[in-house]
Amino acid sequence: MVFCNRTSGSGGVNDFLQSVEKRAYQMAHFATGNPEEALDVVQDAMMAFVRKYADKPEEERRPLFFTILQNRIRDWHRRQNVRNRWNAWWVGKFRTDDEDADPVQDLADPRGLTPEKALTDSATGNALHGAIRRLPLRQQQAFLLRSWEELSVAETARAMGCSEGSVKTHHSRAVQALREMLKDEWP
Amino acid sequence: MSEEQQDREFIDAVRRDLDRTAEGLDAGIQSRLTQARYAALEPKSTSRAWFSGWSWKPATALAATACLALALSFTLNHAPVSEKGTGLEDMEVLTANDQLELYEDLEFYAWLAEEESAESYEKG
Repeated sequence: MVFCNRTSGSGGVNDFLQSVEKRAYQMAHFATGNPEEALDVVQDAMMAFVRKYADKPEEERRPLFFTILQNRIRDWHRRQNVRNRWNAWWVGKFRTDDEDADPVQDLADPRGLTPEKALTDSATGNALHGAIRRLPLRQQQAFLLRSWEELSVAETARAMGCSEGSVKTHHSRAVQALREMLKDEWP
Repeated sequence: MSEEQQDREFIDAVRRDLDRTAEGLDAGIQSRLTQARYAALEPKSTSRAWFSGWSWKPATALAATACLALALSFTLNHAPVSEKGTGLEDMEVLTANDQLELYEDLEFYAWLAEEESAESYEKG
């Protein structure tokens, strides 16, 4: 396979993407709850990064890549929400047996989070993963970008498309929520 | 220990756990990630972008507009228009008494015209 010359050398794009791909996948997996969707999101982000920012200096690559990744994750959530609204409309349109039922309540969580899945996560020692998945998307993004990827507040704000104040609020709430959810499993 | 210090220790522990998980991804996922990276770096391989990129958007928009136009024309051109037309024609015929008589005696007038033309031919 022939790659463009960006891949060679220590500062090559290939090396950079290799250094972030596993964490990017893990973030996308937390957000989507589905391995296939997560792989699609990461591949889209890689392609967009190579297309637009491959020539950027090494120090700018990481925040740019995670900005693209978070945009792709937000797009995925928007599409899922639209799909869910259509499904709710169809279900409501053809439902005749129980007129009072709320069709939205019957729909699956866009992140694939079910009570059974949350229980399995907990039982297999992945209580932390289950707790991160249960965070609202904005808190989840703020927590993973700040605490795991160690982006600055300004870089995180750019990646999330919000103010620095919002990043601090989302991050603080995420930490409190995680500590509360994990108080029995974690010290 | 202060609240801030507890948060910091908690975050460090979470980071270590997440690092361990990311490094321990199963071989199948790692292989798929490598393929995705190669696909992104291939110079002219834009097959995925071709399917998901802008090139499909005008065609999709055109198809959606055509479907909408078809649905609207089907809804608007439903039966009432032809019924309306028939009703107007009926009204015109019913209100014009002399014309109605003309239609009823049309065969007689046709015969009369034939007779007259035959007579003029014999005389001429």
